[in-house]
Amino acid sequence: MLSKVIKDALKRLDQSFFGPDETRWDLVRITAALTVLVPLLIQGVSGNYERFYGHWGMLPRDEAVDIVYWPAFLFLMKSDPAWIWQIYGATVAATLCLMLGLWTRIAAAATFFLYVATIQRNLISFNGECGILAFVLLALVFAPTPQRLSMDHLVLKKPLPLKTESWPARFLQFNVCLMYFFTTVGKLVGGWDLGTGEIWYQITLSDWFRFPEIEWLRAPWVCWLAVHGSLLLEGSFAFLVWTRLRLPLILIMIVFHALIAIMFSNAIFFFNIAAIAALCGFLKTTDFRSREPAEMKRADTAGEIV
Amino acid sequence: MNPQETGGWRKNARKVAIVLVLVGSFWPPLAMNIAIYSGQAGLSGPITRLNEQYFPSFHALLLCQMWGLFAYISPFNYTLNYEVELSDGRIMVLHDYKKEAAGKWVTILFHNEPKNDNNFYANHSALKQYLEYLIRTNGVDSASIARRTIFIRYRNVFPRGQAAKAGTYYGPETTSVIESY
Repeated sequence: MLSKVIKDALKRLDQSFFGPDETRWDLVRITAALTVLVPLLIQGVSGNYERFYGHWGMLPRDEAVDIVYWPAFLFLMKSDPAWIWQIYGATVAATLCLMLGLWTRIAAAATFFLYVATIQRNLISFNGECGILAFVLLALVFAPTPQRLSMDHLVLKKPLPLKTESWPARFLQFNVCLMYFFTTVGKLVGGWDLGTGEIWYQITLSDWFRFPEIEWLRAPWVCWLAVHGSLLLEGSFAFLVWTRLRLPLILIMIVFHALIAIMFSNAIFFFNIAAIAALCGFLKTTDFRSREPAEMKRADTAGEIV
Repeated sequence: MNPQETGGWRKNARKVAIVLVLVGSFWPPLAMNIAIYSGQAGLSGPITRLNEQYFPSFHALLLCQMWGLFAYISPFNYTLNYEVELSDGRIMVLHDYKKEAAGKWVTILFHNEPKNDNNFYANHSALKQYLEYLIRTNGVDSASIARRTIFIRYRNVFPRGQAAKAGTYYGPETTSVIESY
């Protein structure tokens, strides 16, 4: 009896980690690459890149040597101030390849390392999306390739993999669950209360909120709904996403992040896009596909018999 | 040993290794978040010391994050301001010319600035390094500086009842010095 239970559990574990992978990796890849690429281009155009990461920027090279983590040494290894622009060019090229799905795995590994090195060069530039992108990009290094919507498949004619495994998707998914779970814990031990939800009133009057002039957005019932709704959504995500509620829950969370991106300042825009990229890791290739006619017929017949 | 058996053994060993690495990779963020949040919740004991385990590689690769968003209200409605007092007694307000050059595009071209200010607020040594950057880019000779000051301008938000009485949501702007040296 016990050995049967253990065998069943092992079989389910095996299926969960090494069963065929149906994740929409192409969506994850394209959205994540855009979330890296667009801010990078903006930083390049504005001069913010040099301000953050330049040898004479806000954290000068000689001071950075003593405080940065090892990936950032890529920036410090040459004294030539133009060196950072070579790293910039390499990061843009790697991210473009990742977005297009060209040499996908190598592009993902290069983007992951260059992105981490860039953020570590000056941690003041760290934003919410950085933590999400790190695990999403790392998952993409191990995700099955080539993907359907990629130049590797469409132009270089590499065949889609016949055998895939789900563990890279599980890595991404468990990280997303950890993120939402601890965000909820953080809110509950922080300033969020389960009563009237007055923190939402304060948030609507902060300089991060785009619409402070709209009075009804801080009406008591909206405060209550915003606080309890978000706590419920984020807090239950890690548990409900493994049930049949997965698809509606993911779609609700995507809308939730889109709403936050609209309502709040640009400072958290890319955080929300990164969160949407990570959420796409729960979508399956079969999710929006209409059922095959034969399957429909079978279902119809079954209905008649019943 | 028959090749099929060897293949099966290798396949299983690979699977076990992958699962162990995967599960192991969740431990650093799990330990850090549990420790920090249980500390904030007022708990004590070994659970709050989980954070003492140090995972440099995970931190270096940004794979050990403390997760939280808008958990507190304090990091809003403030601006950080920087000025120096020169040896001749003149006060000079320091400007970030790159940021100011962006003009009305600043919220797009420097979209992360509010978050960067929060990072500065939490890291005073970085804040001081930024002040030195402003001194350099404003063309001030550091030998001529008698005092460096970083201060914060903050607008308090009244609670609902008080706001109704005062007829405004915001309290008067207050200024407080956070670094002066």
